Amino acid sequence: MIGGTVLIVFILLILLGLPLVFATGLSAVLGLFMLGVDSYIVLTMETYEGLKAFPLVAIPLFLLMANLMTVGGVTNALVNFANSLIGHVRGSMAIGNVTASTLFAGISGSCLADTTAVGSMMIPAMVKEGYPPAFAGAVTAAANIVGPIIPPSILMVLYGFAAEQSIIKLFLAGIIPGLMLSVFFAALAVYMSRKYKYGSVSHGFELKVAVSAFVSALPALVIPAVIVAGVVGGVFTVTESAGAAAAYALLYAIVRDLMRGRQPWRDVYRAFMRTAIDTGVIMILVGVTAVLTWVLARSQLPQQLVALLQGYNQWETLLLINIVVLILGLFLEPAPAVLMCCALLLPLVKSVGIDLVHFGVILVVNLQIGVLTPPVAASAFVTARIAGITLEKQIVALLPFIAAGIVALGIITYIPWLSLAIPAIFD
Amino acid sequence: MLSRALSGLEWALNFFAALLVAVILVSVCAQVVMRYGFNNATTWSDPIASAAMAWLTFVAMAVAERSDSNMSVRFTWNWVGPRGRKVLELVVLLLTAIFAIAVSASAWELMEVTKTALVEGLPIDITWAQMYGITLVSGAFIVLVVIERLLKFFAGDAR
Repeated sequence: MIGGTVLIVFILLILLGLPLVFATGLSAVLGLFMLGVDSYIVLTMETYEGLKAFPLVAIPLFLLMANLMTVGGVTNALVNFANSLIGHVRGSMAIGNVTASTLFAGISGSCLADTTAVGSMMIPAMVKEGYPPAFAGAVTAAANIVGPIIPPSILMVLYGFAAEQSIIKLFLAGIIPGLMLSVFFAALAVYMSRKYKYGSVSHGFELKVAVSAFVSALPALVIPAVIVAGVVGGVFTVTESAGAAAAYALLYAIVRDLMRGRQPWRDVYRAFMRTAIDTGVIMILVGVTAVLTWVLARSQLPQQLVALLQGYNQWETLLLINIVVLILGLFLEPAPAVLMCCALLLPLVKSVGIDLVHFGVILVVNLQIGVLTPPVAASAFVTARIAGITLEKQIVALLPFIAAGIVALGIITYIPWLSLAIPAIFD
Repeated sequence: MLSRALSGLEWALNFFAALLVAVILVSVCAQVVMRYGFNNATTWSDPIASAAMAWLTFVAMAVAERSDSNMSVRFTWNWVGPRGRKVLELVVLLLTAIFAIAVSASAWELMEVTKTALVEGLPIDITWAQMYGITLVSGAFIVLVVIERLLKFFAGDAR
């Protein structure tokens, strides 16, 4: 009863337009009041408990790395490399867009950052090559949902923290599903380009150009390899690997600017400032969601959910969970949604024996589809703005990609091997 | 006057937040360098990085509120007319102030309880080294931002 009321108030506050952090915090305060808690120090204490875990320090460091690499001009290098590989077939720029987004996913781990960085280059270039703006925007928005699925991933760090799972296992588990989604989107983009005669065949494949583009992109391409290999090889913890990658990106941005005869300090300061704000926006949600989780746990809502869904087998439970999470993803940003889903669904997931690493991948893929769907549709907003079209047009163009994403989600859900094969190798 | 003061404070908090990111980076890298370079793992780097992140979180939340960067879902604002939007804005401002006051009061109460405690591994007062103190600062800043917006709101300058 208390948990249900708190959740309803939470949704109403969000619909009012209250920032998520305040909606979460106020719902938690209401829950504390309804639970008859004597002292409200729980509010500050639990927020701090939610923030103090050392693995979470990886989040600002991954964000810093992405911001530094972006000011270092890495987007341009990745897009050129992707286009040099497949510029000789129809729909090549669409595949180039997906490839660049996939490569960028290995650096940023943040969907909106990837969409903005890749989209601001690729959408105008695709439109110039004869692709409709809505299609160019749709390819960009869809392709970039793989950002938080392929390592490094901020959402995986959050899930690993909330579900007490190994973050490196989660990183490894996201590789095949992330690549699979990229292949799905690339195939769909090529099919549509050929069917509707979108774009032109710009140039033939030239090994020299491809090698030169590869060398330019190499400083960025090594990052995910360093992170994963460093952690798997026992050299770093995940947090330390994020620190090493951020230090490397800092060095890269400084050296690159100095080699071009530019002063790097203004860009570097801007990257640090942007990282600070990005971190604050995400981490405060982690903190206040910890309070809400505390309230929900004491209200016995997750246990009531388990009791309600008792009798369903693993497959049916996964189907129900996917539907609930897809609906939640329509309204919530992925970061708070991951924490909320962990609070509500983990007891149910454990009760039917679903592997928690596999569930982490399902959850992240599912919530990432939500960034394409209205009413929130954060990625669609970004690409519609860059493409200069209305949100409605962008959403319509995205429908085939959303459908492809849901098919991929079904495959990822019911073939656990896709998520668990790589972690099993390094177990 | 209030807007100018808040802009100055926002700049200072922004700078401080960027500095905290640097502290986190240096602390984490120092751990790796000390371990592999000097065969001597540090005890201070983890608590410093965690405390810096807690500070950063609250400082950045306050700055994000002033620049309207905190995540929100405003599609309902497009469904109601201009009058409805003004009502929603007023409600959101008041609820924001209530949260900021609640969290500040909670932090104050916690500071009273923990005023003699030290940070684990460091000889530093827990109330300020961790986030209880900064929570008060950021809560007060958000209340001032709300007052600034309310003044603008009643002067007919709605967002």
